[in-house]
Amino acid sequence: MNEQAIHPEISNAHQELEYIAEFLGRSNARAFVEYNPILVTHKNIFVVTSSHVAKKRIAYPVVFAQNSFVSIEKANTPISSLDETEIYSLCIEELGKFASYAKKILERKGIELSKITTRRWQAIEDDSWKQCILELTLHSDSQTALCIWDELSEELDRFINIESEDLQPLLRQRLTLDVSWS
Amino acid sequence: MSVFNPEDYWQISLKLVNQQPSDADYRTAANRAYYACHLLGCERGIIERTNSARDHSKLWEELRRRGMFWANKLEVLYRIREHADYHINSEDRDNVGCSYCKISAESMWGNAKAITEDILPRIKSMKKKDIKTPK
Repeated sequence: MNEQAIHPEISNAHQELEYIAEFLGRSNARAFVEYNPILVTHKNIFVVTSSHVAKKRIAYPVVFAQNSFVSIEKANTPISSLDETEIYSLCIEELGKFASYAKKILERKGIELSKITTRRWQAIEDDSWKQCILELTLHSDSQTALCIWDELSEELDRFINIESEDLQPLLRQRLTLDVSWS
Repeated sequence: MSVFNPEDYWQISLKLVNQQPSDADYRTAANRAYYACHLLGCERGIIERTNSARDHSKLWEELRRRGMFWANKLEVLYRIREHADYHINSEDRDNVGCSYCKISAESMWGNAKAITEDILPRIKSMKKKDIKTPK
C-alpha cells in the first residue's frame, strides 16, 4: 500500500487500512472505483474497517474497496465539491429525516396529515434559486395549518442548526417547507 | 415626488376576485398579492435591492436569517405567483411537480389569500429602516 496516498488526518486508522488494502489488493480497489466512478469524481474517501467507518476529510481521492461483510458510508466530502445531483440527494435525505420529526410533532398535536411529499424546485426567473421542498398537506382548517407552519418552520431551522457547520449554509439555502390544508 | 404604497396591490387583488372572477382574475390577484408582500418587504429595507430577479430569494433568505421563519410562506406565495404567471398547461412536463397545477384557480387563490392575510400584517409591522439605494 502506498503510504503517500494516506492523508495524515487518517493516520490513526493506518494499520487497519494497510490490512484492508493488503487483503483486497490495489486492483480490487481500482475495480471498485471504476464500478462507482462518482466516488473518484467527487473526491470521496471511504475508510472501511470491520466495525466502523471512519469519516475523515481528505484533500485528494483515495478509495478503498468494500468488503461484502463490512458497512460503508459516504465520507465527509467537502460541500463545495458536490455537484447538483449530489446536493439534491443530500437535501432530500435531510428532508426525509426532518419529515419523520415533523410527523411526530403533528401526531402529538392531533393534526392529521393527509399527504407528505418532497420535491425539487427551481425558479423560472432566477435559475440560481433552487429548493428542496417538504410539502405537507394537513387535514385541517387554514388557521391551524398556518399556525403549525410557523412552528414547523422554526423546527426546521433548529434541525439545520444541529447539522455540521459546513452543511448548514447549504441546508439553510435549500430546505424549505410548504404546508397546505384540505 | 410620489411614493406608491405596495399594499394597494393587495386591494387590487381583492377587487379582482370580488365579482364572478375568471381564472385570469384569480391568477392576477395571486400575482398582485405576492407583489404587495414582496415590495412592502423590500420597502422596509430588509435587503439591499438589486432590482433583479435575485431580490425575491434574497428577501426570503434575509427574513429567515433574522429569525422570521414565516418567510417560508412568502416563498410559497412566490411559487403561487410563478404558477399564476407562467403555468399555462398543467400537463407540460415542466409543470409536473407544481401542486397548483393540480387544483383550480379558485383554490390556488384561496391559498394565496390565506397566506397574504397571514404575512402582510407581519411585514407591515416590521420596523422601517433607511431604504438602501440599489446599486
